[in-house]
Amino acid sequence: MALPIAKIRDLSFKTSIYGIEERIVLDIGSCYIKCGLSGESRPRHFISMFLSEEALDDYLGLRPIHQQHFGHECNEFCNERASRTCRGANPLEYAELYELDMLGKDNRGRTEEQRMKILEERLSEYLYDVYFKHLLTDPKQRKVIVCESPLAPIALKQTIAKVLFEKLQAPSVSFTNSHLLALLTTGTTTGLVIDCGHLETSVLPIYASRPMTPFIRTTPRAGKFLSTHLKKLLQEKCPISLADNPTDLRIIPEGMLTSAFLETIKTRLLFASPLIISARDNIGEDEMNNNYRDLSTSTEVHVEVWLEEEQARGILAIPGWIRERATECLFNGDEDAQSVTDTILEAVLKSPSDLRRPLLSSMLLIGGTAQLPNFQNRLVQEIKRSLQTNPRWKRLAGLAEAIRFLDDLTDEDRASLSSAVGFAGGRSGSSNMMELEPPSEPATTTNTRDKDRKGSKEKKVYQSSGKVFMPNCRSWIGGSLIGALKASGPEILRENFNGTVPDWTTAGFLTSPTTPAHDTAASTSVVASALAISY
Amino acid sequence: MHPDAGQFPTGATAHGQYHLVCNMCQWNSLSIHMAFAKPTGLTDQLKKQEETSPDVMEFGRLKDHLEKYFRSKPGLTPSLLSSIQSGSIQSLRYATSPSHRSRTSDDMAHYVPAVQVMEDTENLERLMTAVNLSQTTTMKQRLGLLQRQPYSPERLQPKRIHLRIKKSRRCRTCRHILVNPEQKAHSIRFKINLVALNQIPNITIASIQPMIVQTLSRVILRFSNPRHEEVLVSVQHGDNAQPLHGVHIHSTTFTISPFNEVWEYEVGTIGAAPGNAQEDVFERTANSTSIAVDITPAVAGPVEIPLFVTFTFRTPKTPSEGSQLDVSGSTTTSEIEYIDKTVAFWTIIGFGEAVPTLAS
Repeated sequence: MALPIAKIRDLSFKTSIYGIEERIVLDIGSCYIKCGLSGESRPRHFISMFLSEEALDDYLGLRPIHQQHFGHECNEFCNERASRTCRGANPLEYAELYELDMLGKDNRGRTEEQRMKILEERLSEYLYDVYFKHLLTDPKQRKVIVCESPLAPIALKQTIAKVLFEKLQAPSVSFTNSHLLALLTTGTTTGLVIDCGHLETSVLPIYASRPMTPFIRTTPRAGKFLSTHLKKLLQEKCPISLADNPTDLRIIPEGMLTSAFLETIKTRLLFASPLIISARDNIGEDEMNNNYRDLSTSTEVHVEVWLEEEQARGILAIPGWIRERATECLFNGDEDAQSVTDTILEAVLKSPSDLRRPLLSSMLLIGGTAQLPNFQNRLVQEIKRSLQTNPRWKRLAGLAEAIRFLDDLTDEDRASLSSAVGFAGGRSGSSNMMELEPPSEPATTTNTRDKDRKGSKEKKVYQSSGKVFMPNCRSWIGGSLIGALKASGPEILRENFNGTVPDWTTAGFLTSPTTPAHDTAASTSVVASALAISY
Repeated sequence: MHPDAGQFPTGATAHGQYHLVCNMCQWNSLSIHMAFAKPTGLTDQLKKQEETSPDVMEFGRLKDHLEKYFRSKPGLTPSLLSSIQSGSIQSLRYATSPSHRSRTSDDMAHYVPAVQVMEDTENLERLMTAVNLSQTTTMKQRLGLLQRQPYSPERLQPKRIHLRIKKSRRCRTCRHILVNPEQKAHSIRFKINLVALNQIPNITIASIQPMIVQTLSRVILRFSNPRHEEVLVSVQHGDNAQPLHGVHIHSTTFTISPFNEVWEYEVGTIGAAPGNAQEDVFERTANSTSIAVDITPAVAGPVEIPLFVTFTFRTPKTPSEGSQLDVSGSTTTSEIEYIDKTVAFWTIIGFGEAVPTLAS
């Protein structure tokens, strides 16, 4: 049976798990692994590091805890070796795959060697799952692109390479800067990329696709910090009332505030308040919280929980001010950990003076914590406020009007938008701008202005694509783009792997065990060198 | 609330269109404007929508854009790269005037996006007024819709079920392949099956009388032998079980003939006639032996009898460790040592509900 030619052509351009052209793109975070095939516009799977899958659901202490093995339900994919390494751990606790400091003992008293071993076991289990359960593909045939954070421990990179090469026999692995990859998804190569993830927030200026790693600035104020802060707030401010007897108040038991519980609250109820309340000097924390409470307009959310000790149902009321002000801890800094705002401005200030304006006017916020609703708008306000009020940033104050995020609308876009609205006067038929969602349209195109453009004669030129990609996927999507173009950072071939990986911190001393892709087209090597700038 | 709970295409609606509904939560795909022209090939029908989704279109545009950029810039020389490396970044002047920029900068050409996605203020509004946890989606639901990750459950879309394939499984000690992957996804056949459960006698109920309390009923249990050797079976009744039903096993020890593929085609022709008294079993056919068990249920309710089954078979002694599986089956040494192996297991056989006696 012959396929029509058009159909064959169509097939050949599609990503397929049977072809081996497309690479595997991995973005291995401390809490989530994003995996998929290059050339696709979104990751195929997003795997969480919770010890149980259920934790990602709406776990709030109501459901019984199933005895589960590590990372997944105890089904055919069960891997006993890995479960042994984490035996006894609560399935509702996050077990971060790695921490920033992999040297020395951790708080559970495990030595560095043990920790590396555990990391390797877990990583191989997850990557096995990625290949054989999620992507259903043969690891021996596909090259791998790993999105790496510039400050990720080298030991982590080495372990990733070791697992991929020795356990999965991947033909080649290339580590590529995740900030740069994320920036590429905006179609530009100059910008200030702010990765607000779980363990830390890192700010990296990139100029003409060169990550300027000397100017990278980080702060621990990120997802994990927020969880800790939220936990404290809940413990102090939110008593639980028994469902049968609402006047009987209890303090939240420590055991209930698992990572899964906090993650649920964080991902489902928190947002960044649109209002800035300036803290006066010498104001106590309690007083500030009172201010927050008085000025909050958000509703209180009642959450049903199960009290293990009383064997009764309880109601946890999370007030609106906690929901909108928990994120405040990211914008307030101290000596130990400076705020996200200050980290950004410090990175800008460290950068060459002629790059400051372009950097501030093309910022990009990525990472899971950046998904909190209104986080980005709030960040813009905070930066502007800091520039005006904080004497530390006096030298940058003139740049306040240039501040813009790459996925925000430009002034031009805004102007054309408002004129279009004014012109169309509510009729959105012919002028394909700012139309309201027609009820008959499927919901997939909500909030886009690109529909029926093909039909219209005049093509609107946009300045910014807006929030077309979600912040937690941007790095991965960049990797997918690079992979589809057969480009990547420096490739490490399996034959040449000797346990070390190239890293920008060791670039000067390492006699490179890597071979950049020199055999393919000239363009590839150029790209490779452009991406390999930091090595 | 859970659009991926389970969908069944239902009958045509008034417009001759099909949609998905969930029988559990009454979710209907029309609520997200998802309808199908025909009830088959749903993926293909959705593909068109998928191809015009903003992230896919933008991705395609970016790919073209970057390709052009990479092709047109052959001049990123190593010296330039190393200058940054050595920290002399100050020499890299950012070109502000357009003419200057086009000459020296190797920054990317201006990019024109394919789509523009408006800012989503819905999440914020929803969150500010939420009173209940169920008004927002779970992380798991959001991760199923990665391109948008909405907060409102109404914007979720049904998710395709992830394909699960059989994997090849090898025995850890003998390296024998236990399960082979199957090309056809819908085939449930396992090619090689060395599961231990299949090596023990299979017990089936051959005939049964209704269970009545305090009334003896006779049950015929058939034991089939899956092995290629004759086995000696002994059956004991677990007499401490509660409730204590009266159980009498007529033949507690018996043999079962070996399994032979040829017999599969002529079942029942070999063996003694049913009820033959000379050999103390009820019936003996090819590779199965049936025995009679008398049960007197003690109380009404389900009748479940625990049985302790021991079976002994003669097997070639396993050669010394490190042996490879002999694929051809030919044995070079003529003196194979046989040893008796005894395996025992508990099983509980349910005989259905016992009904109260007519008298009571």
